[in-house]
Order: sequence, then structure tokens, then C-alpha cells
Amino acid sequence: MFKRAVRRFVRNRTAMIALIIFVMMVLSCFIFPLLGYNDFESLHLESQYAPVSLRHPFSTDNLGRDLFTRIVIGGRYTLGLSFIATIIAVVFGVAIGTLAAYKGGWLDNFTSGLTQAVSAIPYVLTAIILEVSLGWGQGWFSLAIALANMPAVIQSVRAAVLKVRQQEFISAARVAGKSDLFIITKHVLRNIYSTVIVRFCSTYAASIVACSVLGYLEVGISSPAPEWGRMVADYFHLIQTRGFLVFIPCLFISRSVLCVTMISHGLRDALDPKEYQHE
Amino acid sequence: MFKFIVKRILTAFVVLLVAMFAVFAILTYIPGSRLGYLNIWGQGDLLDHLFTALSVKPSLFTRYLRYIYNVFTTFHFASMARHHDLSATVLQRTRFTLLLTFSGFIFIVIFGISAGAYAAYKKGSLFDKAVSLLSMFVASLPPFCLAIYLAMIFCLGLHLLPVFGYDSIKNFILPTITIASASLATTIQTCRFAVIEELNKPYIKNLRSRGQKEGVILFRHALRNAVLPTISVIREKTASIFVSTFIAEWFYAIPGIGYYLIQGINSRDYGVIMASTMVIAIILLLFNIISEVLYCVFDPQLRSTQLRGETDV
Repeated sequence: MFKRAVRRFVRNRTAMIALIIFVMMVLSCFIFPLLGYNDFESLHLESQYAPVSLRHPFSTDNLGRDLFTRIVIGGRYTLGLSFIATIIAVVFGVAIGTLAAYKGGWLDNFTSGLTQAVSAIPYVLTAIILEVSLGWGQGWFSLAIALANMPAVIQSVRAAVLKVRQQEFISAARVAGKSDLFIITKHVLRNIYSTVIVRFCSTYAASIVACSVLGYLEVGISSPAPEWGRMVADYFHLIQTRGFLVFIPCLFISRSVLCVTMISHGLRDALDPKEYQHE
Repeated sequence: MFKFIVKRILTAFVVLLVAMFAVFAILTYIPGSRLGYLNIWGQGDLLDHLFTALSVKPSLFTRYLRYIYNVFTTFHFASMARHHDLSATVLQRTRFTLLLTFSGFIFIVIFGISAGAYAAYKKGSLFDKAVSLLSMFVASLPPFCLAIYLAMIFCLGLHLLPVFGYDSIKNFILPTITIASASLATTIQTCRFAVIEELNKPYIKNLRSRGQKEGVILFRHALRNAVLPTISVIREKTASIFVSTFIAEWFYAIPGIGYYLIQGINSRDYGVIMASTMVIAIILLLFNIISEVLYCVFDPQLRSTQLRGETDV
């Protein structure tokens, strides 16, 4: 089953290209700082807008900081923080969604009401309120993004669990006297893992968007840190004269989101070929 | 129907009060009080002494009730930084936000449904493929990235459209596209899929065999049944459309309510934060009610269950 899914994914050309590009981006965020591209904050006003060279592959910004280094380090912020946010959202989302759908009753009603309420509030608002109330740390920043994405995870997991719960082998296990914990871990979770994996990927894409949007709105991460959205906001006043300073971070954000989206589509097609035949 | 609407409005009102209480409580307890400068002289509990001496420190709940009472009776939003009534400003700014959101919605509905229906009708054609590819590409961009690309192409490159200001209709073209982008792809995909499903049904074949015109089949018969899932998708996207509206306001410097909220947060003006959060919440809840009513109008089956009072859809 799993091997076949992997083979289907590998055969999907767009998804594979996206995966390769994305892995290269992530690796470069960790390799290039080791090769000396790690000074993202000290100012060199004498080398403002330096010509493109091996030392400055993307030239330098208005304060003489190497743009490539800032992009590479910024990738750690954007991709890393949103990855943490995704893990939080998926772990809690799966736990809550599974419990609510499996138990049903008032718990289910309560959870679905709560998720509807949370998803009705714009996530920028949630994040801003969390940021303002809990302080300006990066941990809270991830939590805000996670909270913004959790309702979608809960809803899709809940739908998947409801579908599994109706099947006979669950009632069979219950008749055989298995405990709820055993049924959830051994039967339910095993049958919804494809939903969870696909959800993880699409949540990651949404988290990157949310992270960069918050950075762009100057919420959360403070200025010398080169988060990509934050960089767009910082260089925005230079858009007419030095457009590349805005364009390059923008390009990296959209490329990473596009790659993750493509990967999630590929995963969906590979893991659930029956369900998505029509597309 | 009337009873249903009244019930919805009452629920929305309760939700509004609870949500505003949450914001109020959070704003009360965050570090950095407006009166904090009194503590500069070293008396840490000077404020508390002052409050007890004057006996003016009411509980959080009392203060919240007083605030809400003031807002609803006099429509007076207090500001902390600027010593004047905010209601005029808030109303003026709400106008821009509503204008932007409505134009975004209309763009999504008209463009999304027509492109989706046409792509379904020409399934597998170049148009179909181009639309799906382009909409997926645009949908996966964060709104502000799209805004920057649009600004670079249409303003810096082609000198066609302005990127800030709010006096002419030209100013609203790029913001509308930015707002619509995030939800357009989903709308197109849903509508396309629904129309394809509809076109495969036997009654369409029957219509064709009777010699009905293709346009009538597509628009009067297939699309009418496909509108419902499309509306429900647009309804789910309301919150994200509002987020895009804030970003478009911020980017294109349109003085709407989202811009105001961000400004208020940056200057820690709690009055502004409360006022704009409240307006945003009211607009969102109103949108929810309107879309639910629309949904009922379009779906007779749902209408009967909801009118009987089983509101859980």
C-alpha cells in the first residue's frame, strides 16, 4: 500500500519537481550559513547595492547587508516557524478532531461550534490578539499561526473519522471488548493517515502564507530578523528604485508556497487515487 | 423565515458580546497600561492606592458592561490617543472596507462562476487547463505577494493603474483582484466540478435530444443546480476574504477598518482596537446571516428543515 503510493508519487512529474526544488531550498537554508553566508545584520554602508558577485549573489540592500544571506537565514524563520506551527496544528487538530468525532455527543457539538467560531475570526486578528496579549516571542508567534490553521485540520479529520467510524470493523472491535484507546490508535488513526499526511502538507502551505503575511503586517517578528514577509515590508519603500529588494523575498515566498501546494496535490493523488480520479 | 432570521440575529448578538468581552479582557490584562507612567516614581502600587482611595476601580465585568452600554446607547467610541469620538471615523472607514469587500465578492461570484462553468463546458480544452493552472498559481500566492506583482506589472511596468489612493474607480481594480485572488481558485474549481457532474446527468441528454440550445442548457439548467455548492464554498471563504481585504487596505493605502485596526495595535490605542474589532465582528456576523438566508432561498430542502428549527446544517 505504502510502497505503491510512493511509486505513484515518484511518477507524478510536477510533484517530484516541486519536492526537489523545495528540498533544495530547505537544505540551502542550512548549508549556506555554514559556508560563510551568515552575517545578516551588521551594516556596511560603504557597500550599498554592491554589484552581483559570488560574495553577493543577490547584491546588497540599502544598508549594505548581503541580500542572499538575509534570504537564506530568513528561510529558517519563515519555513522553520511555520513548520513548528504546522506540527502544533496537526497534532492538536488530529487529537481533538478524532476525539470529538469518535465520542460524538456534546463533545462533538462543542468542538464543531468552537471551530466554527474560531474560523469565523480572521486569523490575522487572532494572531495579533495572541501576540499582543502573550508577548512578542517566536514561540507565541508559531502558536498564533497554529491556532489559525487548527479549525481546518479539525474539520477534515473529523469528517474522515466519522466516515471510518461507521464501518463494521469498528463495531466488531467494540463487540470484541477492545478499549476506546485501542480502537482509536489501532483502527481509526491507521485509516485516516492519508488524510492527515495531505492535511499536514496543505496546512504547511497555509502556515507559510500566514507567517509571511504577519511578517508583512509587521506583527510579531521584529525588524533585524530577516523573515521573508518582514523583509518585503522593510524594503517596500524602495520598490520604485530598487525593485529587486522587494521582488526577491516575494519570489521566495511564492515559490515555497507553490512547491508545498504542488507536493500536497501530488500526495493527495498518490495516497487516495480513487477519490480524486476526476481531476 | 422571519422567525429564523430573528433567531439568527439574536445568536449573532450573543456571539458578538462574548467575543468583544474576550478582546476587552485581553486588552485589560496585557502589559503596558496607559496609566503605567504613574509608576515611574517608584511607588509600584501607587495606582492601586489611588484607585482604592478614590474607590473607582470597578471590576472587569462592570467596566465591560459600562463600555458596551455607552457604545450602544450613545454610539460613542472613546479613543485614548486622540481625545475625540471615534464613531464618525469608524463609519467613514467602514464604508471603504464594505466597498472593497463587496467588489471582491462580486468579482468572485461573476468571474468564478462564469469561468468555472465555461471551463466545465469546454472540459479538457486549452481554456480549461489554462484556467485551472492559473487559478492554482494565483491561489497559492500570499495576497501581498500578488499585490506586489500586480503593482510591479500594472503600475511600475505598464503605467496603467494607480497603486494607492481612493478617488476614482481605477484605484479599486487592483485591490479587488487582490482580495478575490485567494478564494477565486476554489470557487472556479468547485463550480467547474459541479457543472461537470450536472452535465453528465441524464436530464441534460434529454434536453439535448429535444434540440435545446447549448447556452440555455448550460446557464439555465446545469448552472442553476451547480450554484449551490459554489455559494457554500464562497461562504466558507468569507473570513479569508476579509483577511485579504485588510492586506489590500494596508498595501494600497486605503483607509479602511483593517488598516485602522493595524494602526491602533501599533500605537496601542485600545479604543481604536475595540471599535474596529467590533465593527469587523459585526460585519462578519452580518455576512454569515445574509449568506445563510441566501442559502435557504436557493435550497428548498434546507429551507424546510431550517424553518422547523433544526438549525444545525
